[in-house]
Parts: sequence; structure tokens; C-alpha cells
Amino acid sequence: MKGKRDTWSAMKSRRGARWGVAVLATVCGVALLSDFIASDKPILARIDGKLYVLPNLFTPVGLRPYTINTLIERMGKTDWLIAPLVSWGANEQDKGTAPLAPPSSRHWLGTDTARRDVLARMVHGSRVSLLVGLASVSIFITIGTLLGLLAGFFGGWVDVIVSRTVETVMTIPVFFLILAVMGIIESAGIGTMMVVIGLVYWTRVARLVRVETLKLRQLGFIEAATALGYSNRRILLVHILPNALGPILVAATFGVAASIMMEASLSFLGFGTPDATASWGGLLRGAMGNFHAWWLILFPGLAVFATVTSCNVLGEAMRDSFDPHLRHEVE
Amino acid sequence: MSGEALLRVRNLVISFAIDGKDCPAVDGITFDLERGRTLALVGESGSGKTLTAVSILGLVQPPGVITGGSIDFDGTELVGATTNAFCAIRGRRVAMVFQEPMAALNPVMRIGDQIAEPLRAHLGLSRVAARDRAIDLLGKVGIGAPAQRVDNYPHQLSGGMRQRVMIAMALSCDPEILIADEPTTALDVTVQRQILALLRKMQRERHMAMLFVTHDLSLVENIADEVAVMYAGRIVERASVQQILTTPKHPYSRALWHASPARHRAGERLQAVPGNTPGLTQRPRGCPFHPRCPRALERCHQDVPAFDASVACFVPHS
Repeated sequence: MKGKRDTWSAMKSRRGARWGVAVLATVCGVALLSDFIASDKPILARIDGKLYVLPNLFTPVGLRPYTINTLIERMGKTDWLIAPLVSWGANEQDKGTAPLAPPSSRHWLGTDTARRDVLARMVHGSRVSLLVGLASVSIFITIGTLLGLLAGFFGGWVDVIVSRTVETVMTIPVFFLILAVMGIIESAGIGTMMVVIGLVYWTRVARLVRVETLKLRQLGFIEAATALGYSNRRILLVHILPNALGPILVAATFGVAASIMMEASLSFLGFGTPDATASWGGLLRGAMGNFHAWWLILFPGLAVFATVTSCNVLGEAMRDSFDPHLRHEVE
Repeated sequence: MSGEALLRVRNLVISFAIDGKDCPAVDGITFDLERGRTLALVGESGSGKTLTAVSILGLVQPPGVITGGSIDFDGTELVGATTNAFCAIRGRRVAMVFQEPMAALNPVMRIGDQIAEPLRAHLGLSRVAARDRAIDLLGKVGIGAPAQRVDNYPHQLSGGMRQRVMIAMALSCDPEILIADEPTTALDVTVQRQILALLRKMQRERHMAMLFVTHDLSLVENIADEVAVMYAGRIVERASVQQILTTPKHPYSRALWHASPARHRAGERLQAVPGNTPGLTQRPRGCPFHPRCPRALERCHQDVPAFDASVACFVPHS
């Protein structure tokens, strides 16, 4: 039995995996700090003798009517402010710029149809992508793991019900199902999207965990656990689940990629995030019919591509390193 | 010497349905197990010894089914008992040590946690108290530096140490019966002796009853009080360990003894028992041992010899 360290070192030795981790860490960092990277309010400011701390997070009443640009215009001699890297808000419309303006020193990645800064929207859009990715994955990993464990462990009619349900759900074209649901629910937002993706994508995880449980159930330590009089719940959660965690983790990583892709596709088609919520797919949607606005296609497209590819590369590296047969080829 | 019988097994039959026919793998077994005593079940592969042992814990796996007889544990009937009834016994009052110590330990769990788990699950001990008990138990089963070893994973231990950990797990809740299913088969010969000595010591200290399952007759001398020799699902001879080792009565016991390397001097030829244990579907009529028996008579082909006092044979050795 190989230790965890072997798995990690085998994984880290793959260059692709390192890149994947680096890209994902960057995207996570941007998502967490998006208010500090792009905002229409300063990070720290002294206006009319009053000190504002982190107005970009709390939006104090005194600064509410202003943006960084209007503040700078009316600043006195003793006033100062520290602006974020991108001094545009995700929903701030720049009256001084044309809609669909190409990249310039004012808007580094150009503006969209509503004169909003593309870079600011991309920075804030990373939140939507990651949130949808992680939340959907949490939902479907939970459902899939639970059903897979029960089906594999108890067998019999439990297995029949779960397996047939899995097969039934798998015959439905996932994308159109989600599209239809998002179309029918009028107030559909990010929350709905996460739940719908989560409720549809669990089938593969359930199959995977079921097979893993069937395999583990045969092993000596499960028989030993039964002989020691442990409850089924304890055997499932303490003895089977931790041993099945490897494949689940791999499935989760691929799942994040698939969910982000799904979110981008839905938003692109106009069934995902509402216009006020910045998202990568939503930005791409702005390029529809405006094909000369290459900055609306290229930059959000690259963001989706890099994030999804990183997840997939990481998932592949994890899968290979959990499998000792493949590990040797890697080394 | 004899105490009260803690476990009474009567005419136990465990069958497998093969091609619609019930084939008994254990065919009418009867024995008693007393507190503070060790009974060894000895037999070849396929004799039904392991099946008998696991039936006490209700671990007979389908398609195997107990089709007859009774298992009385301290006044409780275990044949047909519910899973809940078994859960009250397993690990608490009856514990088991398995043949493969590698397979029987959870690879992703620290051994200390595995030993502490029955204490926490059954006795409701706190994490800290259970850990202290686990360290204490590790020391008792002869693992050096138990306070450090407690945080090891199974793959960091040798085979003998793993088996000691299994024994510590089994003993953690002070069971009344310990079932040891070929606990030394997967181990080196030198380690075998140590594990046997440990089992014997623990059994004596705790006044446990022990059911020791083995295919190796030479092991029983050091561990058992009584021996039941099994063949094709039946007990063919039951006697004290001295008697089995000096004057075995059943031809099969004698053949087993001759096949054991332990009693042989250098240069002497080992005598294998000719033939194989008959499969479940090919049990012969009459005495199941007669095709391999050097003393078989005409009668042995027709009738099944009844178990008489200590042996089931028409022509026992005297």
C-alpha cells in the first residue's frame, strides 16, 4: 500500500499539474480579492477631512454617489485616495467612453455594449465561475457519493433503484435539460444554476462510488469491521468512504471544470447569470452580433479556457497518481 | 478443570445451494466451548472449519445458509438471530482475529485509531481515554515503543506486528470468546511461535474461551486444551490435545499427524495424505473419508459412522 506522500510527489512531478495548480490558485486569488483588484470605490481614502477605510467593501453613505473618477475630479489639496489596480466597478458605466470601445489606456481590455470595463467584469466574473463550479460540485459529489455508497454496500433493491435511476438520468441530454429548467424558472439566477447543475451531474459520481464500494466491501478490513460489531453507518463513513476518497476527488476536479463550462455556456446563451451579474459567459454573450469586438471574445474566452483546462489537467494528474500502474509511466 | 459451557454448538448444518441442491459444507457439528479453555478446530481446506468459526459471529456469507442445528451463546440462541442481536455480541463478547493481518487492517487509518475504535463505538470512551487504552493494549500485545507506534499506518508495520495489532483490536473490549482463524498462516515461522505464545498468554490472563482454527496439527500442542479434527464438514475426532498427539484414533487424525513436518526427524520421509478433500458436490456415500482411508471396510462405503464418545469411525485405532 502506497502512502499519501508517493501520490503527491508523483503528481507534483508532472509539469502540467503544476501549471494547473498555478492557474487555479491565481483564479481563486482573483475571485477572493476581486473587490481589491477592480472597484469603483477606493481601498483607502481621505475626503473632506474624513478618513474612509475600505470603502470598496463597505460603500459608506458619504461616498455612495461617487466613483473613483468623480472623486478624483472633486478632490481638494488635503484629500487623497488609494485606488485598486483597476479603478472601474463591474457595473460602472463609463459615460466618457463609447460602447464597445477597444482596449485603451483608460479601459485596458476595452468596454462592452453598456460601456462597462471588460477587465473589471472579468475580475468579478471569476467569482461566479468558481462559485458555480464549487457549489455545483459539492452538491453532486454529496448526492453521488451517498447514493453510490448505499447502492454498493447494501446491494439488492437499493442497488436496483439507484442504478436504474442513474441510467435513466444519464439518457437525458444534460445540457438541454438544464437549459430547459433555466428557461422555465423565471427568477433563475446563479443559485438556481448551481442547484440544477448539481442535481443533474451526480450520476457519474454515483456509478464510480458504487463500484469502489463494491470493491472495498470484499476486502478483509470490512469483514473485520463487521466482526467487531460496527454499525453499517460507521463501516460506510469511517472505513469505506475514506478509502474511496481518491476517485471521488478526481471526479470532483473534473466536475469543477464541467460546471464552469456549463455556467459559461448557459450565460452565453442568456439563460445563466442576469445582466447585472458579471460573468465570463455573459461577457461572451456581449460579443454576439458584434464580432468586430474581438476583446469581448478573446479575453473571457481565454479565462474560461485556462480555468477549465487547468482543472482537467489537475484531474488527470490526480487520476494517474492514484493509479500505481500509471504512476510508473509518469516517472 | 471443566467450567460452565459458554458456547454450545449442536448439530450445526451450513449449506450452499448448488444447482438447486443443498450441499452441506458443515454437516452436523457439535461441540462445547468453556471459559478459560481453548478448542482447536483442525482440518484441511474445505473441511468447514472457518465456516463453523464465522457462523458464531453470524458472518456466514450468502449463498451459505445455516440450515439446521443451534448455537447457544451464554443462553442466547444465535441461529436465526437478528443483525442487531449479533451487533451486541460482535467485538464486545465475541471477537475474531483473521488470517491476513494486512487485509484485515484499514490501510488509511492509524493503528491507534483502529484499536481505539471498538472502545469508542462499544464502550463510549472519550477520544483521549480510548487512545490511552490503545497505547496500553499495544504494549500488552508486545509492540515496543507503543506511544510512538500508535500513530503508524498499517503499511509501516511488519506482518507479525500487524497481527499483534489485530489481536489488540480483538481484545480491546475484553471479549469472552476469542476466535482465531489461522492467525499465524500468513506469518514467518519464527513469528508464528511468538504470536501463538501471545494468544495463549492473553487467553490465560483474561480467562477467555478461545476457538483456534488451523490446518496445522503441529501448532495445537502449544495452544489448545482440546482438539476437534474436522473432515468434509464433520468432526471426526475430538480429544484432549495429549491424546490427539500421542494416540490419535481416527485414521484421518493419524494421517494428518504423519503429514506434519514438526514431528519428523531429519532424513525421514513425510507422508502426505493421498487424494484431496472431496468438493461440496462430490461428497461420497458412507464415511466421507473412506476413499482416502487405508483401513476402510466394505461398511465404510455404505454407512456414515456416528460420533461415539470421541471418534466417528467404524475401525478406529486403539
